[in-house]
Amino acid sequence: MTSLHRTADVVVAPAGRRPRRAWSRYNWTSLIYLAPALVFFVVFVLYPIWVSAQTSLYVYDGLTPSVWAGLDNYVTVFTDPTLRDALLHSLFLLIFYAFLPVCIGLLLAGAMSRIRIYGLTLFRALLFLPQILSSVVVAVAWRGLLEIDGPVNALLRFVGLGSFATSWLGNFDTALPSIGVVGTWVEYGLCMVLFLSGIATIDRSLYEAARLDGAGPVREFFAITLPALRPQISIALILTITFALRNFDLIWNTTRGGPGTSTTVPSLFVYQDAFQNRELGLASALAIVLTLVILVVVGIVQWLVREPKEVNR
Amino acid sequence: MKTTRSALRPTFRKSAKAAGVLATATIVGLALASCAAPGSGGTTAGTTATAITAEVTAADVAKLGDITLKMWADQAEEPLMKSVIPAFEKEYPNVTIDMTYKSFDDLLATTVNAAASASPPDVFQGNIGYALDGALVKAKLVRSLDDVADVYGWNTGTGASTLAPAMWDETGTTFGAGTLYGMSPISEVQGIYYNADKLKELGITAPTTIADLEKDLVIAKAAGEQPIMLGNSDQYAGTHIYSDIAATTQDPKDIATWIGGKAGSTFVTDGNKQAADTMTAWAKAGYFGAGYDGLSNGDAIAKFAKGDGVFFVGGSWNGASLTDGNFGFGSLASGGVGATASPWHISSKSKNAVAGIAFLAMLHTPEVGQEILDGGRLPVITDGVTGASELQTQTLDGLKATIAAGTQVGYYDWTATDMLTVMGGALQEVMAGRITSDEYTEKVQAAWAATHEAK
Amino acid sequence: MKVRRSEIISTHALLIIAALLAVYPLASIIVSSLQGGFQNYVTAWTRGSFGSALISSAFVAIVVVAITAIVSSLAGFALATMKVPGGKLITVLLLMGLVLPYEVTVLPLYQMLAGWGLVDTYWALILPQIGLSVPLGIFWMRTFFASVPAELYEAARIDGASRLQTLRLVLLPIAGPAIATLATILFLFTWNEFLLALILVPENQAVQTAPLALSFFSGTARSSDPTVTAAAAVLVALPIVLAYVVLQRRLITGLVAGAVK
Repeated sequence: MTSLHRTADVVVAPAGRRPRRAWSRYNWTSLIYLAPALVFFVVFVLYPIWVSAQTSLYVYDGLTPSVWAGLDNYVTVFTDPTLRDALLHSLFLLIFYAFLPVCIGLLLAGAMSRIRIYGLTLFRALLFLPQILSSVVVAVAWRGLLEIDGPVNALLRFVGLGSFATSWLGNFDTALPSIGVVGTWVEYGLCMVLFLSGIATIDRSLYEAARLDGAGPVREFFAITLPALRPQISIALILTITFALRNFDLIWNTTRGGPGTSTTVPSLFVYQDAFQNRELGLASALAIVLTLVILVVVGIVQWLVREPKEVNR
Repeated sequence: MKTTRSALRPTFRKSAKAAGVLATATIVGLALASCAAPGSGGTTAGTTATAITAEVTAADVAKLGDITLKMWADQAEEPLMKSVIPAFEKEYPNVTIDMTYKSFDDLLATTVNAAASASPPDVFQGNIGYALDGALVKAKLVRSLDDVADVYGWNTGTGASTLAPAMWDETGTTFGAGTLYGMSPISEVQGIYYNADKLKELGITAPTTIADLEKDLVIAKAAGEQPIMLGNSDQYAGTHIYSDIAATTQDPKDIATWIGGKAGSTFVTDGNKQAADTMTAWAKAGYFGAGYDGLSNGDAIAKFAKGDGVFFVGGSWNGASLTDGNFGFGSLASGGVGATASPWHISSKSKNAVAGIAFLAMLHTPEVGQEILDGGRLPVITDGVTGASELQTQTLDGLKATIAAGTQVGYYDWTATDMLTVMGGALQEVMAGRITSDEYTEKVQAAWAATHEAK
Repeated sequence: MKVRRSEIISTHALLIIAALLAVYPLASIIVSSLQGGFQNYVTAWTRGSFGSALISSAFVAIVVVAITAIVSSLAGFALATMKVPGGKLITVLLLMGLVLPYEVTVLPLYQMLAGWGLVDTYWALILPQIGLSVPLGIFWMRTFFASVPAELYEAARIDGASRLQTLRLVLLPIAGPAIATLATILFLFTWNEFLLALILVPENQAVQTAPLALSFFSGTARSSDPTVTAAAAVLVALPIVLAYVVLQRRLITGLVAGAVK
């Protein structure tokens, strides 16, 4: 859950803001200011990535000398059915972790944009709560809720839907969607809060004008609210998609990939291949592929939600 | 107030070029850097140890001065250690034991790394098989114990036959014979625990064969009880029941050789398929209850101890939880999984090996054997040990019978690093009817082949 | 503008349901943990050594936040106000650092830290997390410094202040809120970090952080009462929730404002 907000919340400063300087050449002393931070970044982030990339080209068990493998590990990543399934599971989870929360967030925020909300601060605080809980706490709490004798099944039986009661995390068909539901729960508050803040910046007069033109709430939403939320939607998608594709903590503390292999995800195999099977080369290749997939998906999202050519507003 | 998200895009476009250059440079760099292969920086093994020729005395240990013996053990050992550690520290006063307990999963995941690190534990538990012990032996991280076995007479007596699984060949690729690298004072036998009160209510007697059990399951189910309490979310409990059935559909020795990795053996046999079909039939008939894949083994035994379920099929280590209430144990002489528990090793890098030897020697005595039995588990030394309760005596007798029959096959996860997850997961699938028993045996065999035929 | 009363009610009802759903899981483990009074908490505390785990979490988080804030301020200042050679390249790399999964760094990190003998120490958690927090920190502070009016820089320059003096005497005093928000966010992430702790501090109980301790506790102690596990989970969640109650306004507005910018 920690990676959520590490994406580009902040943006390059608009050119006009940059203070004028008397010298137009590169400023080499600036590197001294950057050095401490960059040292940490290079040593503990970039260098390990480099080593991972290197290791991915070998067969290595962490103890005895490694053996060159070329691109064999990458071939395995894409052709091994269990690894492929894990990737498919991740993509499936995208629906629950990214698509649904964004939709729910838009829906709620859109509904809230039209009226004054009493107790907005309180609602915001409560809705954001899932984001601050540790993933382990979330796992423990939801494991209890989804047990065969847990509250969810109790509720189902109470309303007469007892035939649906099952061990949600222990049933082949429901385990992955259940993980998905947990993910939706974690993310929808974040989306809502993001969109709300965006809506707050929309010029009210636009709505007035639309209303005078006879637009109903749906038209208002699609014509004014949605376009204005473009940046927030982009952020929300990036945050939630990154979370969905990483997703080790939650799986580890609930199902560990079970039952069978129905809830496996790539990051689980990175851990298993490294620490259980002692195949560090394969684990590294998997991690590199995961990183590339995330970068590509983020790039796609950025492109899809880009601003259209600037039109006179 | 306009938002300026678009400002990011130009940066991305221009930087795409920079990124492209970076990527190319990286690829080139990687190719060049191929000479600095990972793991080429020397071995992590320790020096060859000096063999002992006589039993270690307190004086020998005292020569080490005041030392701390760092140890790792499975969580399940805690009750036993509570009495062994103080006794050891009393006998060897210059030694302080620093013990860390880990769950079985965590032990599997972290022990090899710890043993290879700069400051490994002096004495630690491993696990028989390729995943753990195989790796340790291959990387020369554990001290050979042949000399210790000779001096202390481990090769004679009731514990002798249990040493085999901890013996490895020189390269660490096959086990069952060779140099001894570990010692386990605890033995395990698989059997059927039953709730004696419920059996009485149902009017049935304790089953001694799988066929008997099957008849009892029908009666129990008809009476509205949950016949077998099963918690399979950790994926191994099911495989234990499976092995009990499999040992009746084929010669248990074939299972043992397959587990040992013998070339040419296969899992794709009619016996194994039959056993899988039986599991599927039982699951379908509801003998395992509902939602067993969502219940952990620990939760299952807790439930059984509280009176839920008529039978619990599992290893003797579960007995420690069944102290209240009226429970019995019936072993299946037909065999099934079972063998010695996690063996103890001495790090090849330990400077305090002598103290470690003293510790292992202490574990391998009838006195500790009695304590093991008192704690609800089974010692390898069955001479001079008596059960305190009906349940304990039954379990001990079961152990003796199974060893005598020679039908213990070991455990499936010994045979490959990922066998536990592959077989456990596949068994879940076949029990749920999602794959056929043919596919099940093939999946398991494929994982076996990946380990044993690729080398 | 006129809005129908029914819409106001239905929207608020929707909100209430959404808020209740968000809170319910936490509420349910609190309720579960309180079955039988506070006994479960005592059991969890003693058996899981959560006292030391909470202290470890706090220590690691504070150190990471402090160092990250300092180095990020320096770096963000440079990126915002100077022409940095290779600035574009640095920006690209940092952007990548924002989204990448930790999984791709942990294995080499383990080997590296093991080689330095730092596995199972506080440094195993602190050093990598500073590196991983630096991208966010740098971008955050850069945005802040870039948003300072040009006139302020001019005034300082005219007064003859060197860059460093400008930073120290003029900018840092007004950077308080920005740094405070950054600190809050980083504290939250570092506290909740699980994967790094699992791999880099596998055995040393004294150093293990709260989420890791909870994971081990709920894994090994599964055969015990689920109410004790629930109590343990509440113990781990409590400090952050309490801090959240106090700081939520700052946290949420800060995060979201940063996103908008």
